[in-house]
Amino acid sequence: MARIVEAAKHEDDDALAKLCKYVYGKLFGYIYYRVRQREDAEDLTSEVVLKMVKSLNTQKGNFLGWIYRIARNQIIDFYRQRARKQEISLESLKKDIPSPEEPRDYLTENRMKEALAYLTQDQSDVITLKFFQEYNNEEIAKIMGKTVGAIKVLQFRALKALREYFRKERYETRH
Amino acid sequence: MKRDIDEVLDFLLTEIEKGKRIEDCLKEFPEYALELEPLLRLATELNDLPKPETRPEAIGEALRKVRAFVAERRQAKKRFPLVRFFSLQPAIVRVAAVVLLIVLIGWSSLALSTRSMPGDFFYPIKLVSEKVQYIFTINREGKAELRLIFADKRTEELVKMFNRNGKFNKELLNAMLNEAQSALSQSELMTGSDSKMLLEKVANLNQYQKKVLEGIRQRFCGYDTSILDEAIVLCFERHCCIQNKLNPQSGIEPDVYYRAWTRRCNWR
Repeated sequence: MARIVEAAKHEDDDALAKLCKYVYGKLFGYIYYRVRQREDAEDLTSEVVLKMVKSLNTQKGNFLGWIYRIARNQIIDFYRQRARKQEISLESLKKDIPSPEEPRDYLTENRMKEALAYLTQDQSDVITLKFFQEYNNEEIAKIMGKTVGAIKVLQFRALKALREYFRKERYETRH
Repeated sequence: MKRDIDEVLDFLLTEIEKGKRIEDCLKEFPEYALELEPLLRLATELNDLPKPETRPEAIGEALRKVRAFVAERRQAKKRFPLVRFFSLQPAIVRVAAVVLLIVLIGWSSLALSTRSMPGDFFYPIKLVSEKVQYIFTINREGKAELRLIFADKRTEELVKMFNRNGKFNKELLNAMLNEAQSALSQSELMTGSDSKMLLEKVANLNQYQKKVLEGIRQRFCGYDTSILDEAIVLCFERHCCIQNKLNPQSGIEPDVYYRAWTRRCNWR
């Protein structure tokens, strides 16, 4: 991977294409669970890949950590712009998803998106990276710039917060 | 030793991933079973969620954007090879290059300004650099010397301007006489041989300025020579004044002495 990144920095076309496909694959799964529409996830991922290429020469340190940081900032910008344009806040995401008809006894993608929006940024990052992107604790620690111990604590708190969210959600649906 | 609950959760998640049943896992940590059971079930549900698949068309679209950007950047680099060269250098080299460029521009501006005359583009830079030089000179003798040098420069400029267009520049006349007066004032702040040496230098300069003004007076074709006459008289009075200071027995009227010593010129 490091060799591909270095070659891409020197504008090697093949390396650049390989790197873009790799990064797209990695980031799409991360962004997908953060936005409502698949089209938005695709657009955002594409923008992050382009941003990565634009500033590839300035990249230092852990590459995965760097691209996930770009993605994270891009998502924040996305919601900020939407809030400005349509006067909808981040809360709207929480309210919009899922549709009323959606069954609530088993976990679906949309219910998961709604739940992730209620977690802190770090908690939802840990859940996404661990359960949807299947990174191990060491990899997650490198990406997030934290220790493995901190990741374990975050994982525990995130699962607890999710559990609490779904418990309340089921209670509200039934009453 | 009792393990932290987050450690236990992580350990059990790994065990479940390997194929162990939740119930069997919890038997190992009965003290945490109640709290961990719903979390492990939730984790299993999360693992079962479908992983989002990427669409080849979407990846193709992203690649198309990247290629368009890279092609545009390559074109720009071809158009501006210097920009390309600098964009490839490390940040420290780029900063050093910018600093060097600023120093070069500053140095060449200063070099060009030394020969400039009033009305030239670089003349204000010359005056500013003189002021800076004066500010950064700390000792009194050095400041007095600078005053003499500046007075000498203004006198030279006055002559050159007169030779160029047959007119005398009043601002230069003011400046040359005022710089000499400033040097005189500096002598008061000194004592002993330093003061005497400076006064002798000012006396020489004053005599030179007087001769220059007399020369211009003879060649001047304008009808109003009153300013030049007044300036020549001032030089004469200053000469008397300096001689009196150097040789107190020579005797000079106090009001003449005061006028010559303190007068700042402001002819317009």
